[in-house]
Amino acid sequence: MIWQRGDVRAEAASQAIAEELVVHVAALRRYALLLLGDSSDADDAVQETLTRVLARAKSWHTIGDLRPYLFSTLHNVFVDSTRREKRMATDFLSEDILASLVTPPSQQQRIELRDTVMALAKLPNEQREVVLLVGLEGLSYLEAAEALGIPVGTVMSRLSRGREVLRSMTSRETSRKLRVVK
Amino acid sequence: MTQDQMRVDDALDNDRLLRFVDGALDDDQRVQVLTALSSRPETVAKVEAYLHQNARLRALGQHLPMHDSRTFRADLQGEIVRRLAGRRTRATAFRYAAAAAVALTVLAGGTALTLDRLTGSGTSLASRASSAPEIYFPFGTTQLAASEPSGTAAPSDATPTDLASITWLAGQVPGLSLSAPELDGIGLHLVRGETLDTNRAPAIRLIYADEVSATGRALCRRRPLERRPRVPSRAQEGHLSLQWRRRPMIFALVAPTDSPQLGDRRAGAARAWQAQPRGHRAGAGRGTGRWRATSSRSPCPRRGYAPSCRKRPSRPRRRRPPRPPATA
Repeated sequence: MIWQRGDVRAEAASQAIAEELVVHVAALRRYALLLLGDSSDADDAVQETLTRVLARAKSWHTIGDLRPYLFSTLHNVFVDSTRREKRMATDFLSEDILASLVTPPSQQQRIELRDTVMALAKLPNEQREVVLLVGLEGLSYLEAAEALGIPVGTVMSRLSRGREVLRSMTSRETSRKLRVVK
Repeated sequence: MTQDQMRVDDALDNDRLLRFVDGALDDDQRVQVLTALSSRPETVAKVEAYLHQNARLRALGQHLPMHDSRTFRADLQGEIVRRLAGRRTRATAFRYAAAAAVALTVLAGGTALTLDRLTGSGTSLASRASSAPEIYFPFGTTQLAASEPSGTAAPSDATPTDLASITWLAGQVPGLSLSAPELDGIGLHLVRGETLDTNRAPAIRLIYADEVSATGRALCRRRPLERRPRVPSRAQEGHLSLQWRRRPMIFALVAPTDSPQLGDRRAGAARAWQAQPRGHRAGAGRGTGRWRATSSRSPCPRRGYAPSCRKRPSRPRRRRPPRPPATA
């Protein structure tokens, strides 16, 4: 019967998708954690992302590259949650991120990572997204633009501004530390 | 500004620097940027800072949990299994519902609900029944409600909770008695009736089930007070909606289409329908002579359900001018 064949096809497609999804789950969780700043929120966002993707399993043949598509869905989940909860930058829990580090870094590394996390927390959401997608996940500008649904030029301008803000913050931190040493 | 300076500025514009940091330049462009950077120490500091940021972000990513926690993976797996199981459950339910469709489609040959237009308050139920058109229905009916006059409703075998919606519908259309089909003979029993308040016109839904609890639905609603009535034309995917009109009411039978015996049942129902006298056919509507006779006894002040009884304005006849008298 037609509906049986369709059901089997959909089931096989879903299983293939589920196997392919698992490869990207770790990257999604990492990105979500640095984007949201809270491990439970990040897990919820990734869960919601995967649920949305699975719900559209029938239209998967139209998707060219899975990775930008997943980040795009996660971006939409993030935007929805931000709108719903009116999340502020102060919600960013850098200590939560530092506590979740699996490999204990050296003291010097830990300080650097903490500075990086705190600087990321102060970035506006749109700049943080671009900096993380390009700098952390290694997406190309085109893939990042596809994931965020913005032009490539916008990606580059946000990236430039975000990096400049990060640079100014980290240099300020360095100079302050130097003064303290003196 | 010299030509060399312009060349250096072009090589070190912001976009190119970003591409250099992110490794998006080809070899020639990289050489150009590196050559230009040799004369700009302040830009070198900027590029170094960007490269250092990328290195820090990657280091941060390496120290973050790369593998899924057990609870997260379990949640994800549970979600996938739940979705797949949902599909299987729907497929199984659909298969069982096909059996119910066989029985429910029989109703398309007759009517799911039988209604009689009551013409006078003093008329007995028996005389009203004799004046009402006979409606083909092979399994008999249960008289469920009569709205007027009170006390004329026939005794009912169904439980009161099942009949509440039909009583409600009868109350919405004055002068109407409703009968619901008894389908126990073919293994279907009435589960419940629901009133559909969201429709423009009063409507109910009757839900039947067989032994495996597969359900089918019969919808009944009053025609809206519009010249072009809107019928419940939408059916769920994989279902068939059969509609017909009877007096002021519109009926719809919704059942799964994917039944191997559906075609036979439908053909049998059509044969039975053809075998009835023309005036007695279900769904014959307002065009039958009996309906005209009924409506002629009761005035129809634009109630909407019998537009044919409206009196058409007569066209004024043109009088011919008198001929002039013939001349001698």
